[in-house]
Amino acid sequence: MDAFGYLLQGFSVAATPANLGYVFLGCVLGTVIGVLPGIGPAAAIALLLPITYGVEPTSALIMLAGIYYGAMYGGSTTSILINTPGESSSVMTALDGYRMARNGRAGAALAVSAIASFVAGTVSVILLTLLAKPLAAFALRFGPAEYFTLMLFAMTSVAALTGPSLPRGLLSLFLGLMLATVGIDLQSGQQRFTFNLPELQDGIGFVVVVVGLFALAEVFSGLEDLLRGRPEVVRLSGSLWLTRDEWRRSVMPIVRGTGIGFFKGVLPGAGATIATIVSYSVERMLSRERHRFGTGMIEGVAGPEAANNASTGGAMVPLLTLGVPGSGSTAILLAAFIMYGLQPGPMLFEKRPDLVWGLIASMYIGNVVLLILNLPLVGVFVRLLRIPIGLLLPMVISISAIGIFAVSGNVFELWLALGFGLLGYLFRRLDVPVAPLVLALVLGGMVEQSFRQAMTISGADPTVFLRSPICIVFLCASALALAVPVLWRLWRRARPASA
Amino acid sequence: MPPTDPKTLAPHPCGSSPATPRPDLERRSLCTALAATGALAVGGVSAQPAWKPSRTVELVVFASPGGGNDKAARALQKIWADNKIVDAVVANRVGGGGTLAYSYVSQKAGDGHYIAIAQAGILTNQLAGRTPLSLADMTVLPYIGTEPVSLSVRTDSPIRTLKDFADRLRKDPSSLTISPGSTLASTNHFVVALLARAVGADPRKLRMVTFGGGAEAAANVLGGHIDAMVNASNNAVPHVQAGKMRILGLASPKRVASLPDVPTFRESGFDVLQDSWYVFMGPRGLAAPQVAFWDDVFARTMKTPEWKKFVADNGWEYGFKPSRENEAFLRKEWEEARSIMSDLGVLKA
Repeated sequence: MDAFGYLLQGFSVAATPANLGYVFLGCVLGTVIGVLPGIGPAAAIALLLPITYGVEPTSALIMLAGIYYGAMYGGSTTSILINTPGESSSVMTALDGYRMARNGRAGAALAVSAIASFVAGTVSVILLTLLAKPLAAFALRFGPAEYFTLMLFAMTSVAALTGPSLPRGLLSLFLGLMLATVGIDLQSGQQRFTFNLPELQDGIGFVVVVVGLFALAEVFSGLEDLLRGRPEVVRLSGSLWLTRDEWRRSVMPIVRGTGIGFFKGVLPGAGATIATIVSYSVERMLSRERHRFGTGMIEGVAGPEAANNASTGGAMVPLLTLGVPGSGSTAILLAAFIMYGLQPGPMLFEKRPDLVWGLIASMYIGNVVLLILNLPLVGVFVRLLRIPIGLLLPMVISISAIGIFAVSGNVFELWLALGFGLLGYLFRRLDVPVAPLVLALVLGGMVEQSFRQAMTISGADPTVFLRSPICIVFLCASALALAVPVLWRLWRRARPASA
Repeated sequence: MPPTDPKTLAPHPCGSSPATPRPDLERRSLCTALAATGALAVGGVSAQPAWKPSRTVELVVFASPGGGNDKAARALQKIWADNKIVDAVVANRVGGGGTLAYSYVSQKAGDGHYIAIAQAGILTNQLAGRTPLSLADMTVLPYIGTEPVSLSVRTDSPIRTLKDFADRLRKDPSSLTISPGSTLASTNHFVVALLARAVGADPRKLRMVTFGGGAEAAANVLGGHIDAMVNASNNAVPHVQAGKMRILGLASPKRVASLPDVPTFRESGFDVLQDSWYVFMGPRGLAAPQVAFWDDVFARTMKTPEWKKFVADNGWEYGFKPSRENEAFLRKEWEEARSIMSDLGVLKA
């Protein structure tokens, strides 16, 4: 038994006391980094790289990978407690997670994230162990045309997130798409909407927008509440643990989220964020209480949290087998491999089985460590809610600002974040949802680029999008995603008695 | 090299080996006298610099942490710290394809505590009209190495040799889809443009597709979505070893050690020479002793085993040009880039 034998060997590497120490260290660091808004796993791994120089490569990579998947666990915490996603992959968690916290179920939301993360993280490592090579071949079949149809499908999911008021949702969505066009256009090399500011040439950073729209907007409205003398007090109700009903409702979202997350993770470029969007909208579509999403549905936390953790295992597939990073964080991991004189790619499994399987085995251990680490922390983190708002808000501002500045070293981005903070505050007052803007910003650039890459390759022949079965599957899925809610409504109208 | 006291290493004695301190007063006064006249500034790498940093140096990088030139900068910083050569921190100033980092350093006029790592963008950004900042706004410091650029196809591609590839371009320059990685009008793009020019094809008709980076371009070549990619050979090497890719040629002056069987473009009969170099730049108006200091630092760094390991691990080619030589080199590169960009129709300056 090949994979199993290798895996056992891997455990003998990963379970040495030193490497166990590195797994633990990576997991702790990852959790902390995930919690801090503005500093993502990519920046954190990069900043810690120089420290690992003297360390044996296997140990160093075990630790860096721990930071990567550990951050996915931690990212949900601030989303849930203070409506401030630590990473882009936690934006979806904020939608219902934060409402759950407002409803007094912060403990349950944090607990279900930890459990979903553990299940999904572990299952995705199992899938990585068994399926790495065949999946790598599958991932290569995704060219620009396939990506475009995949992104189109993800966009239809965003459209479903527009909330109760369609015009407001669309306003947010289109603003996001417009912002996605700022910067030097990849295909023509021309500047678009940069106003000749060199700071805008690389586009508007995702972190800047998220920190502004979520964290700073939260600060501004908190400030308003404070000044008007009616700070909202969050009470915890019931146990910190999940109720029987909450368990029941979380199981299937975790299973589906795991599948979606792993699959998206395998595709280079798609990444954890898209996995969470798709998972959320799938849960919403399947739920009988669709209209209650956004008010604190545990399904909306369990699914996306499973999806973003499952994507980490998936993202290791193209990284280890092809040397192609699937996300910003895995790109830094790739850089780390090269720095240690290792070239991830088809030969790595043959040349350094000890390292590859040691790393994979360490991910099994790491997920257990993270579960043990995160469950007791639920009790600690919910106490964050008791920090007086006058103390909490300045902390959020300074941590976010440090996060932005540490990565780019650019004061302009701080002003930009402030601007988005004001916009976010305005959106709140006007009841415009912010999630479509953020997600359109992420997807918009990718949709446009993959469309134009495909058109360049085909010589401007649009039938390129119909030539592969993968494209056709995604086009049908997109059509279905748009049609199902409409058909559902028609069907219900036709049979009013059953509603 | 044995562990050395920083005092004996940093301002290193005139004409002697850096490891042996020479408390020879006459020698020292001669050194000082020479430095005062400025003669030492051009005296090359073994002379004692008359200037040294009085505080921590800022090594400015335009990639975000972990990106290409950030890696090199962090390796240098580590070597400098371990060997007590210079006390430096790496500062990422991301944006505008390097423009933000360059203009930040440029503004620290005359201050040798700021240096920036630079690649071809230092020339092409200005030529493409993306920034008014030109070579004249900075002080050129040493050249520290290059990544050989290679042209690669899938193993089962009908294109067997560089000649096959060139023939296809001659017949119809838009018959092949080629990725230069992430940037148009980059040195990678220039390689194909020069090849097209060499066979009399219009470089503007080339069908270039950009992706997020070299690794993504490689995935698209492997998946059969595009015909070829042109980028740092390190992107192709692992796939060549796995038997999935074939490198048609290298745009370097000579073959590289890691790919002994791959011919250069010149050997295949095409006069295409384009390296992906790494240089350092300082603020405008650096004094000669400051330039001499950095010449000395880089000359010593290049000799360390750690740097040689970095060069080997990252598929770089060893190369060193002191500032003065590098300046002449960059002027030539600027002329060359100008001519190619004019052919590509992207010249704005």
